[in-house]
Amino acid sequence: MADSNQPTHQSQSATAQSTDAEYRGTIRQLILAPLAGVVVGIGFYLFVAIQQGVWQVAMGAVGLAIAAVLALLAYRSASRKNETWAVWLLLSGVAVAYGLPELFWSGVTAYLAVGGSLLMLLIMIVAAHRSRFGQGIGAVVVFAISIGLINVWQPFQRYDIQQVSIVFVFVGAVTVMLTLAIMFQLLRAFRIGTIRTRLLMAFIGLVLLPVAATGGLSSTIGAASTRTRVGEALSAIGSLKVAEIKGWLDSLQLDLQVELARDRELQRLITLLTSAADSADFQAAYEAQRVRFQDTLSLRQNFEELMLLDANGRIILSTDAAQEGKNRATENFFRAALAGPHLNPPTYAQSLDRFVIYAGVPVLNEFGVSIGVVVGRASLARLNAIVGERAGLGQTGETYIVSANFAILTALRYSYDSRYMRTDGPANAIATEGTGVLLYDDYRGVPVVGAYQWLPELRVALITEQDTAEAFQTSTATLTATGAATVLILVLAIAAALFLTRSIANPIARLASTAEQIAAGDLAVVAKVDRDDELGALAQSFNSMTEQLRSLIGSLEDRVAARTEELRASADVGRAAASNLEADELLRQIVNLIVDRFSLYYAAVFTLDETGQQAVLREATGEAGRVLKQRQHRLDVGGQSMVGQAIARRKANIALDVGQAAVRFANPLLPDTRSEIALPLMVGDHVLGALDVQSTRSAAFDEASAAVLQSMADQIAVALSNAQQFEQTRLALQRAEVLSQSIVALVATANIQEIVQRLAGFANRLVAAHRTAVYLVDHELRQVTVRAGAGDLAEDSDVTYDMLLAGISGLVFQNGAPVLSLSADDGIEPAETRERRVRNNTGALIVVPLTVQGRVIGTITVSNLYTQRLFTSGDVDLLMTLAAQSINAIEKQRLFEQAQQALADLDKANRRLTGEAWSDFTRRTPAQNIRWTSTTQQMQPTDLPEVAAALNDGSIATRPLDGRGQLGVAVPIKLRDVPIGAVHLIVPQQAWTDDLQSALQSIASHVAQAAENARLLEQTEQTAQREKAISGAADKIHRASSLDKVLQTAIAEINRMTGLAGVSVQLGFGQTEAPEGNGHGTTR
Amino acid sequence: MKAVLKCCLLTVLVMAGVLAGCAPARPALDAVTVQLSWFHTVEFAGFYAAVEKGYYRDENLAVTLLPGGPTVDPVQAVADGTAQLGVTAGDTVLRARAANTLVTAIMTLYRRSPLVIMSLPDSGIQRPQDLVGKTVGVISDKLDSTWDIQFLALLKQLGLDAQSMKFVAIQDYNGANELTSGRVQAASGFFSINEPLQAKLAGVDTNLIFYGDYGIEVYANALIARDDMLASQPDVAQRFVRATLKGYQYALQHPDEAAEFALKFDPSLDVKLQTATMLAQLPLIDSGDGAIGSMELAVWQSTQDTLLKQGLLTEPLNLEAAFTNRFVIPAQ
Repeated sequence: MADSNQPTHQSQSATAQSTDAEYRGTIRQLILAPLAGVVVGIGFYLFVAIQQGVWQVAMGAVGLAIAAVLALLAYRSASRKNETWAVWLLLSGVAVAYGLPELFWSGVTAYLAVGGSLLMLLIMIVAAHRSRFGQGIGAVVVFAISIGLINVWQPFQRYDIQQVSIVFVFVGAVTVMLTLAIMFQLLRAFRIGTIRTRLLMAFIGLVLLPVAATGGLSSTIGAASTRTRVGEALSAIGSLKVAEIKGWLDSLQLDLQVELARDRELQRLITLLTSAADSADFQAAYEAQRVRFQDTLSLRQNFEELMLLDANGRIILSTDAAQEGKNRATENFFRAALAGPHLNPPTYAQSLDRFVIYAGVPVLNEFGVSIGVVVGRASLARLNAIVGERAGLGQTGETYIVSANFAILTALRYSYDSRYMRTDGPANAIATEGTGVLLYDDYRGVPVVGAYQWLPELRVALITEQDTAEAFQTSTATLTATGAATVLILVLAIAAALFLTRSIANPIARLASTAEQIAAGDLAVVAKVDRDDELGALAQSFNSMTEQLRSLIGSLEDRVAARTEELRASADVGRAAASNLEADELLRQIVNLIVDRFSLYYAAVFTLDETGQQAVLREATGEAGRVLKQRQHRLDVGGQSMVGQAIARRKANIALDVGQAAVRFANPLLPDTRSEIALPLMVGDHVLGALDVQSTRSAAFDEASAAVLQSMADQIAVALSNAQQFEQTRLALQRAEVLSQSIVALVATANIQEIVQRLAGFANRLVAAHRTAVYLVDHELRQVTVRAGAGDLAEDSDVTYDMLLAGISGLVFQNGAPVLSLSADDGIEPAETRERRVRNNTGALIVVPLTVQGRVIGTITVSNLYTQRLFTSGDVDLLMTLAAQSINAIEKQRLFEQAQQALADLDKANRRLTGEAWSDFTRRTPAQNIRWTSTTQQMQPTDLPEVAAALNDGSIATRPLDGRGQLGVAVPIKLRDVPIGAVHLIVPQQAWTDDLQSALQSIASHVAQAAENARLLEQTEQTAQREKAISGAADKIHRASSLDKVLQTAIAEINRMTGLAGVSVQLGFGQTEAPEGNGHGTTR
Repeated sequence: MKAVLKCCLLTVLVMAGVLAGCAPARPALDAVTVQLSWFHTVEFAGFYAAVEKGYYRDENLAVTLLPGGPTVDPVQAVADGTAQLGVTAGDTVLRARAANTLVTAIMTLYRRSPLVIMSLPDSGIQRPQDLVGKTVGVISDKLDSTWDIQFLALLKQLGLDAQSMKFVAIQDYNGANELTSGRVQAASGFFSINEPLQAKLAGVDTNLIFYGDYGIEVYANALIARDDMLASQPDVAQRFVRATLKGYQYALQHPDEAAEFALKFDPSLDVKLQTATMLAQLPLIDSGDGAIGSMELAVWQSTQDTLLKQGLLTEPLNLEAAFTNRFVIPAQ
């Protein structure tokens, strides 16, 4: 016990500390809680002992006091962490509290034994360690045996405590409550547990309950029916004996009646009773009657003695002469018989010193008055004989008769040292004076079945008993068999339950532990599969799951590596896509990269043509790619090809084994293709084309690689889209540059022919045409002449065509609207010129008019060979712009030439009028005297009132200048009748003539025109400069290597040019904003 | 667990408290003193058993048994209040009542008269008639004791003249000593369960003539109480009779134990004799054809007749008032 500090819980050393603390707490509570009860109990016992004056009751208090002391010691031990010692002290306390009263109390042995044992058990369940349980049980057994021994030895004078019902109830109530507490504890103990325990409990419970119920019920019913049957059998035997006794008693009565039946004998009796004893009649009668009685006795063998008593109770005559002269007046039987026929219960005959039965009948005289009685005395021998016959009573049965005072009247089968018997059978028979069957302990203390019958004639009870052991032998045998079967079934059931529980719970437990191992990371464990049921299936599934996990995790690195490689390749492709804005170069890089990095056989990029109906091969790898590209390989969208289907369906199209692909264009140039995937190139909802990759391995593509490729395709699409947009932008810039150059150049050109020539060159460059021709109409509008050519047509300059043969140009001359014709067969080309166009291999062509004030003065015609690119409406717009600018230049030139003409005319008029040349005049005139003024300048009308007047009136105003004979002349310069300025001259008064006046007006109109031209020129130059700035910006953008840089540059440039606070650039996918005008854009 | 314990404890405490409160406060025991008719002997086995088995205490009685003797008059003791109850012969009851000492018999120990005339077999004395000319031992020279009166009544009943025989007072009550010594040929007034039994135990055969056989039936040991006591404390009498009957029933069933009980009251008694006496008196106590302790009017009639014949009563009494069975056989 000394090692109690060591925790006995296994594998719980971590929690042992706290468990021990809890444990000690439990013990202390276990001690303290009942201590108060103990104090109350002591008081209770002392009170009862004093009140009842029974010192033995006080011993209960002594026991409790000792127990309390032990409990306090236990409390101290528990406080000093000596729990085992505490438990033992506690158990000892209980043993004393329950054992001491047994020394002094009787009648409560069972309660004390059971109560003490239960309390000890309770303490052990609550407080004792499992390892000490065996010892605890031993202590309980020792306690119970001690109680039993005390009960047998009884060393002290004991008091029947049942006489003090309060103590009895108290002890009983405590015991009952302890029992309930124990059951509650047991329930608690089994409520929680493993699935195995619960299954086991459930199984055993399921078996136990019905078996117990069936067994109990059948036993009860069997026992009841057996009891009934045995009772009936015993009652039947008893009834037979009762009938026999009654028959005998009847015969007793009959014997007496016979004595009185005949007159002669009756008269003799009367004589005996009425005559004097010494008379002759009496003597005769006496002798005769004596013989008569003697005959009756010997004949009937019923009575031992027959006698005649007179009315005073004196025996007149007896077959036993010694009895004559005695007096029975005080005896019951005499007085009863005097009143009528009587049968007396067995009564004590003093002189005979034994019990006898008296039967009597009155002797009536002729007046019916009872004058004496004839009495017969019978021994109990006959009764003894009747009840002593034990037929049908087996080995242990017997019948006996007990008087109303419990005296035993007949012989017993077994020795008994008393003449009285107060067992339940006689007691019930006498108390009820009835009949019944009982189970009780007989005079030997042996359990018997007893049937009792009441004989009212004799006022005795006839008891028929048989040992229950024998009576219920058959039923006991049945019960034993049933019990054995029940126990066997239980054992089998428990075995089966154990087996079943094992077979169910063990695999589950194994699976659980396997799962735990796997959860802990050990993937090598395998669940045992040794069954075909659901658990086996579960284990199998579990294993396959583990296997998958294992292979999954095992192959994860490879897969991660492969996927990483793919993603890296994808990233490379994406980077390549992003780093190159040149579409062709981009695509070349991409396809090569794809083939290279994904170890593929072939990769190709298709883009949709302008019509969107066909996918044109843009780039492809290898020799096949080169050949296909050269062929301008095309596939119909939605046609019988992987690419066509992918574009049409806008989703990846995989052929794992090309032989099985439903829709696939089998390309003879790619004979080794085993699997193929075609992925649409999409930006948003817009399909740009498709990426087609092929592998020499079958099933080279799966969903994962398709996803990777699709993401790559998306990047390609974006890049392609970017490249296309970039190309377009670049083209636009290039064109704008060409346009601006051309405008500057054209404006700077003084000669119309040269302008036209340059125009042709610019146009050719602007749309990258194969050749360009500029036609100008002749004055008669009948012919068109190729005034200039560029590209391939350079040598055809100055070819003049008839208007009717000018083809589309002719149409344009007529309609004044530009025409775009993509081929000779598109229905636009007039039939007359179609042949020439076909002959010239001309494919797409654009004709734009050169229009001056609604009059078409010529056309620009650009064309490509049919193999070359098709023109677009954008090209048309560009050419229209160029045409408009060139018209300006042409018009300016023409106006210049007209101004030259006007000056020449003025000069000529001046010469004619002044005899001097205009140039001389102007040369002579001081420069400061000729001024340009404009409405935009602040004028000083007071200085030159004539100028103000001229500007106001729109006509020539003059003012004589003081003293010199000169006039200040102001000539308004009007453009479209609006004065925009004035020419101020100082003219000698004598020279101021009408001729001079009109000449000046003419000059002013020319000046107005020239000024307008100059303004227009200046405006054009400004435009050109801006275009140039744009082209410069575009150049910078172009030089920017990345999209981010492009956007930044673009934003910066536009900001600079426009001075706007915020600039945003929107691309196809989203928005890029430069907040607060800091010129820095971010890309989303 | 703690809660359960507390719950149990509380319940126990409450129950204990309630029970303690409910415990019937036992009234103080009724003190009953009984004046016996003779020295302590197993004749009074029922009283002893009731004491020893606690039947009196169960009936809340504290019983004191006063031994009697030749000089003690139980009727007087009851009459003067020395004892509440007394044991005496039936004839004294009637004589007391005739003398206006109103006592009533409420129970009898013996239902049959134990009185016998004892003689040796070779004396040839078979019947009372055979006593003529013989020397007969009597209780007192004056023939005035109860037993002598009955003997005389017996002689008178049979028409025998008392002068025809010689009476001497018995001096040695031990067995058949007086017979064997030849001092008397017959001894009257002996109890069948006493001297004959001693003689028998001493190996001496005797002839017995039972008074009862000749119609002289007097209750030898009736339990009496004053009439006023029975009127004022009937429950005490009832409880006493009930416990005493229980004691006699116990004694009947356990004769050996009953003899030992007697020894507790007089250790000088011979246990062997007491046991034999106990066995012998069983049929006197339980005669078979009536309840133990109950009395018959015919016996009282016989007693009165005896007294009248002897001139000890001048006129018949109301016998119904002299005895009652209502305590022995309570009305249901």
